[in-house]
Parts: sequence; C-alpha cells; structure tokens
Amino acid sequence: MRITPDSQPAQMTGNRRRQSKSDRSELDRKPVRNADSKRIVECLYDQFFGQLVGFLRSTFGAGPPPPEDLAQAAFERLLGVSDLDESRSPKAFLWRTATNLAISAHRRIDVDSRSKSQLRTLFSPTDSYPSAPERVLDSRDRLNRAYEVILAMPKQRRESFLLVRIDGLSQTDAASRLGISRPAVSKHLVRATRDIIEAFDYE
Amino acid sequence: MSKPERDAHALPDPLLDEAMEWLLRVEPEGATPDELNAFGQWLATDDQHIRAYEKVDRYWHEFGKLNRVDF
Repeated sequence: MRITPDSQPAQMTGNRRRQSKSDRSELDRKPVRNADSKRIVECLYDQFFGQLVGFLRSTFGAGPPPPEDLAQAAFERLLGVSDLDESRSPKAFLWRTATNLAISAHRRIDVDSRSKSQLRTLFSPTDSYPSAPERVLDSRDRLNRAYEVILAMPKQRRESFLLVRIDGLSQTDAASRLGISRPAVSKHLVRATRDIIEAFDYE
Repeated sequence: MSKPERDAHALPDPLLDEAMEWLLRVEPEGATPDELNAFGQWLATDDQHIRAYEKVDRYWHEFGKLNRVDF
C-alpha cells in the first residue's frame, strides 16, 4: 500500500490524541518504533527533499555548503527525533532545522574564511537542532501554574486553547464549535500563548 | 523572596506573537510549500526570530500534555 506522505502527520498526531493519562509515562519512554519513524521520514524525503533544496538554494544560495547537503542533514536530524509521533509537524521541523543549519554553517564559513578543511565539520553534532527538550512543566508547582493561567483566561481564549491544543481540533473546527471565525480563533491562540509565556517568564 | 523580575533578555511580546502566528500557519499538516518557504525566510531574517519561535514552540508543545479532565 502506498501511503501518501501528507497522511503521515495526521497519523502521528492521531497517536498523540489517543494518549490517555494512564499510558502517558510509558509513551514518554518509547514514543515511536524505529521502523515506523524511518518509514515516515522516507516518505517525507520522497515528497519534500526537492522542495527543501529549492528553498535553501533561493534563500542561501548555491553554497558552500551545497543546499543538498543542508537538506540531507535536516532529514537526518528528523530521524533522530525521538518523539516524532507526538511532536511537531515534521515539515515545519525540516524547514526550521535546515534554516538553522544553513545559518550556523554560513556563520562558521565566515569565521573560518572558507578554509576547505572546515567544510567537513559544518554539521557538527553540537549544532542546535534538535536541541535537547527543555521541560517547562517539570514540577508540581509549574504544573499548577499552568492550570491556573489557563483557568484565568477569558472564556473564548481559554476554550480556543483547550479545543485546539488539548482536544486536537483544527482551528477551523474549533471556530465552528465556538461560533466565531477562524482568524478569531488564531488571535485567541496567540494571546493565550502570550499569557502562558508571561506567567512562566517571570522567575 | 523578592519580587520576580522579567529576564532582561526576554523577547518582546510582538515578536512572540508573530512567532506564534507562524506556528499556527506551519504546524497544521496542510501547510503549503509556499508557507513553509516564507516561514524559513522569516526565521532566517533575524536570530531573534529563531529564539522567539523556539520559545513559543516549546510552550505550545509542553502544554499539549495537559489533561482535559483537569479543566
């Protein structure tokens, strides 16, 4: 069976949605089977490698490093992501990772004045992507604060956030559920995120 | 404990809002190549854009682990 790459993110999100409180700790330990993860990345590679290279070439030029190498490195990073199934959109991850790799590679080239021997180390394992996951909700105190800040939000802001972020609805579905427009839902989500960051930034 | 102060390196609110608008555009599976390219270009414009995006992404991701039954 041929699986269209676009169906993959939905499937991955689906796994996360089915996750209940009781099996969460187990999922955190082994988020995705390696074979699944590899197959998903291969599908994405077939569909998006060329587009990613095109983006890199038009944004950062022909290199060095060559856009193909940057794109390749981004896909390799994606393979290394352990929580692919419950995590971010793989496409957004690829574009973001490739951009970061390109910026740090070009910066390094500027510093090293294009010495050829340096090119081999352009994608060192210490590059920022993917960075180690930083846990925000790593204590009871912070978890309580998370619930407090959400409960303190005005009703539509709170409901928009809960429907999209916790229940996994699309913004469009959340909009019709709430009887407001999709852009209104987006605005609520932006504002909700700012509330959250403000509640955690002061410490 | 003294009154907490916001980190001097805190990112400006409008930039965080902008980063969040990008997240909402590129995270859904239907994001188009044009949107992804525009997103990458926005990121590449400024290191602060990257930092802002990483921040909203981290919070958005972490808060997805909360339970509906607790609300």
